[in-house]
Amino acid sequence: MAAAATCSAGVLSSGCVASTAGPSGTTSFQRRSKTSGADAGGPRLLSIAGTRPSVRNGQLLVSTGLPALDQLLEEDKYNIYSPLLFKYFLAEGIVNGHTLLVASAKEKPANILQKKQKNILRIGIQSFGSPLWGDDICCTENCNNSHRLTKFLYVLRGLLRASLSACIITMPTHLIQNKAIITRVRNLSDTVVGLESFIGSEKETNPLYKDYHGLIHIWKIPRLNNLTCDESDVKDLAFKLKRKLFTIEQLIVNQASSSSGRSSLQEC
Amino acid sequence: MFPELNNLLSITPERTEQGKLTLLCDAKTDGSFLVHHFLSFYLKANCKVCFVALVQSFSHYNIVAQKLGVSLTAARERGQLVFLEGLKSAADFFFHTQEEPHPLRFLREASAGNLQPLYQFVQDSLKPVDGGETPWKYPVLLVDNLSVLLSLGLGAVAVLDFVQYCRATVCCELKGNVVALVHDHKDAEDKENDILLNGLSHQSHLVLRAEGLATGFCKDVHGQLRILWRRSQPTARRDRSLTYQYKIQDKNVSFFAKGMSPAVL
Repeated sequence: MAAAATCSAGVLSSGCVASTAGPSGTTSFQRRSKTSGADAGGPRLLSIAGTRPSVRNGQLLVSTGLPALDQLLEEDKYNIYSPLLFKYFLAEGIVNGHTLLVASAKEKPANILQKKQKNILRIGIQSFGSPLWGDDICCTENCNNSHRLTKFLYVLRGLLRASLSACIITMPTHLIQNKAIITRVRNLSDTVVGLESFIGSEKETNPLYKDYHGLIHIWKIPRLNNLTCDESDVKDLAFKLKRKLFTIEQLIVNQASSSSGRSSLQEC
Repeated sequence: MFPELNNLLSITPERTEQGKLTLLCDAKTDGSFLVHHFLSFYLKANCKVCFVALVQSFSHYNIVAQKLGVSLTAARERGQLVFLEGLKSAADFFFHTQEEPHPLRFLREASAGNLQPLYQFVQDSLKPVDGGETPWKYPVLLVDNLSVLLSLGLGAVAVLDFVQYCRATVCCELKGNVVALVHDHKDAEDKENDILLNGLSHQSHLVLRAEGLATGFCKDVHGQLRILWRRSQPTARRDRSLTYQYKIQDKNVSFFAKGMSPAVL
């Protein structure tokens, strides 16, 4: 898909923790946007609010609203946290005056905001593949029209590549019976993030995870215009939700502690 | 191209085998660096290249190729490179009516289609114009990748047929090479993809398989590459295979024997 923030999960600092679209209306890119005003002779695209060029290859980036990369979210069970990240992405767009297109079979989608010249379009598709859209991939293992979903994603990606837009899709992968589709959808996406919530699982009562609500798995990050990508060393990430603040931290287990299995957690 | 990979494969742009099918495969990792390698390799070898690029945009390949010393824009302008940008073509095809037969016509078909228009496109791109004389050494078809065709509604058999036709024209008739990337969805119970992968593995002369490390992520070793040379004659000795580990850098990929990463020594 066309643009996504490239800060890898390991680069999260406490200063980068997501801010809600509060009264001050600040974008999550505030601390990093020093480049946008600096170059008087820079390319025209720098003038679009809420964007900055990648330091690696000059590609235009938008913030997801959260410092973690989000393009495809695998929905957590009971769908509690993924709508929140979905809303963060859209909120970031509202703060910057980007155009939004929201598609949801669950609730009435928001109207498209006023059009502007040279603006970013943020597209959000919620619960892609769920039975509410009329697809049967959650119901049977061998479905005949499974390729309709993947064909849609492919053409969508083609449109995104050719335009100034970014798309976030959430998908209830725990409901999908056909495992092959999940792999194909992952291959068709640029970024894949999984959310594993602790609710209803044995991890909920595990003292190791008591401060957290779930784990975040970064399955894939974009490798665009480059041979390499910014893969971080940090692979154990957990998230927690305190009122409106969604934070992501590295999970570290302290082996030398007492038998109660306390873990020391490092904010990264 | 990556000079170290050329050494491992014992090839140079001046000296390669012709009439071969090379299969690139990746399992739980990103094998696209192999596509970039062969693209720049064959352009440097002065071959006519038809690149069916289904998963990324032209500018992506161009920017990486420039790091490897080749300009795709220049190659396209001088007629050495025919580039089919799948993503752009698919979007154009869906939203604008096309008069002439389109190589990706199967996208509009409701039931399982076939890839004959795409094969026609390849044939038209690589067959020498009447008159015979061509400044290029031999033609090469490069496909990135074949697995995505399964996501677009085609069956494994249709894709295998397509490869068979391309081999007949490009490898046997025109004495060129075919290089294609297929993903390996080992644990995903993707039967169609398994059929495609197995079918192609048996037809290939050379199989390059990039895998993630069994021990998980490592900053200094990004994966391992298995190289398998298949002998086509039944009387030949057994297939030869080698395994190396690699690290992808900004403009190069370095290869080393297992356990011999510079970070470890």
